[in-house]
Amino acid sequence: MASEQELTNARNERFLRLLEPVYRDCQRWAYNLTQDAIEAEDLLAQSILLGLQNVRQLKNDGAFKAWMFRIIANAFKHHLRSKKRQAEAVDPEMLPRFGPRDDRWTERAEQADAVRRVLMQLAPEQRQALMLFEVQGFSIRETSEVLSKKEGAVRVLLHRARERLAVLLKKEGIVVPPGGE
Amino acid sequence: MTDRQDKTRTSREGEILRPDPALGRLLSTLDPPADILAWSKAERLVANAPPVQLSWAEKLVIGPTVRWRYALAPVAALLLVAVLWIMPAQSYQLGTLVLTKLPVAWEVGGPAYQEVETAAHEYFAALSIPQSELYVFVKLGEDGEYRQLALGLVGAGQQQAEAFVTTLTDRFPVLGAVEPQYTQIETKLHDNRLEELAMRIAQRSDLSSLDDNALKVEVLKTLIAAGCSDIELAINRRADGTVVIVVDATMPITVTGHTREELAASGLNPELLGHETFEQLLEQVLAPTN
Repeated sequence: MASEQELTNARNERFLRLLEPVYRDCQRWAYNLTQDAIEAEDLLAQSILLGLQNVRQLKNDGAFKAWMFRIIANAFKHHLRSKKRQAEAVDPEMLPRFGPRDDRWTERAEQADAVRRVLMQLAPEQRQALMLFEVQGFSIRETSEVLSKKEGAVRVLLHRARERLAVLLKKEGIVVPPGGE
Repeated sequence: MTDRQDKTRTSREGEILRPDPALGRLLSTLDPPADILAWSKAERLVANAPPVQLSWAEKLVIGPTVRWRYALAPVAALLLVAVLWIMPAQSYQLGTLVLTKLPVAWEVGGPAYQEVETAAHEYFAALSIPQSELYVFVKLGEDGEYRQLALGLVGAGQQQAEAFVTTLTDRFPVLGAVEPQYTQIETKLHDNRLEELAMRIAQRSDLSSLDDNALKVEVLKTLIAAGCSDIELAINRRADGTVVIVVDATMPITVTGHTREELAASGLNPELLGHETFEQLLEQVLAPTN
C-alpha cells in the first residue's frame, strides 16, 4: 500500500505530465481573462494549486485541458467577486499602452495593441468565448462547458462578438482577410 | 478533445458557425507580453504544494501503523457484530445512488442525454445483477446552480456502481470530469416512527401482499423517480393490519416549464406529486414573477 508521500509524488507527477502540453494555452487563457501580466501570474498560480488539490477527482485525462480552463475561469470569477470589481467593458482611452510608442514599434506590435484595445471593448463573456473558440480551438460544446453556459448562449455570444468586433476593427482601420472556412 | 463536429451547427440566426482562421490568427497576436509564471516556477509550485489529504477511511489502511490496524480489525468486527445484534433497528442496503455533474450544454431529453441514458441501460443490463433496476434522471445540485445526472442503481452495491460508472465515463469522458458521489441507499426498520404513507404506494391494491423488502423497493422506486436523495425508509406493520411507511428524504424540484404539459414532460405530474400539490405548483409557475 502506498504511503502519503508516495501518493503525493504520484499526484504531482501526473498533474505536471498533464499540465505541460497545455501550459502555454493556460498562460494565454489566464492573460486573456485578466489582461494584466501580474494578475495573470497570480491567477495561474492559484489555479495550479486548485487543480493539484483536485486532480485525484479527474478520472479522464483527455478532459484535462477543458477541466483546467474551467478551474482558471472559476478562480477568476472568485477573484473578481473578492475584489468587488465590475467586469465591464473598459474605456479604451484608459487602457495602458504596451511598449514605447516610437519608430521602433513594428507594425505587428501596433496592430496587436489596437486589437487588444478593441477586444477590451467587448463584454468579458464575448471576449472569453471568442478566445476559446477562435484561438484555443475549443468546440462550441467545450466552450460552453468552460464558461458554464448553454451551447445556444455561446453561439449567440460568438455571433454578437464577431459582429461587434468587425465594426470596431473597421474603426481602427484593421482589415481581417476573408476567413476561408 | 477532438469533438469539432458541433461547430457546423447553425447559430440562432441561422448562420453556419465555424472557426474563422483569419480571425483566429489576428487574435493570436495577443500573446502575453511576458512569460507568465514560467514553467520552472510552476514545477516548483507543485513540488512545494501541500501533500495529498487522505480521508479517514484511506488513513485506516495507509501508513506505518497499518499492521496494528489490521490486527485490531477482527476485534473491531466482533464489536460491530455485537452492537448490531443489540440494536433495535435493522438496516438493509437496497442500492446505490450515483450523482455526477450534468454538462451545462446538455438538454434533458436532447440527443446527448438520450445517448447517455441508452448506454447506461445497456451497461447496467450487462452487469446482470439479479432483481436490479436502473433509474436515470436529473436533479438540481446542492447549491441549485447546476444540474446533476442521478443514476439510481437498485440492487447494486458501491463496487458494482463504480464499475458501472467507469464504463460509462470511458465512453462519455465529460461525465468523469468531476468525481461522482456515491450514496448507499439503505432502509431502516423501526417500530416507533409514524409519519406519512407514500400516497402512490398506498393506492396499490396488493399492498398487503408485499413483504417488507418488496414494499421498500416499491417505495424507493417512487422516491428515486421523484429525484429524491438521502433516502431513509421505515416500515411499521400495526396489529390491525395497517402498514405505515415512514419516508425521510430530500426532494428538490426543478421547474423548467410554464405549462401543464411542460411540467409533465419534466417528470412533474399529478400522479407523482398528488393532484393538489401539482395544481399548487402549476399556480406558482403561472403566477406573475414581479
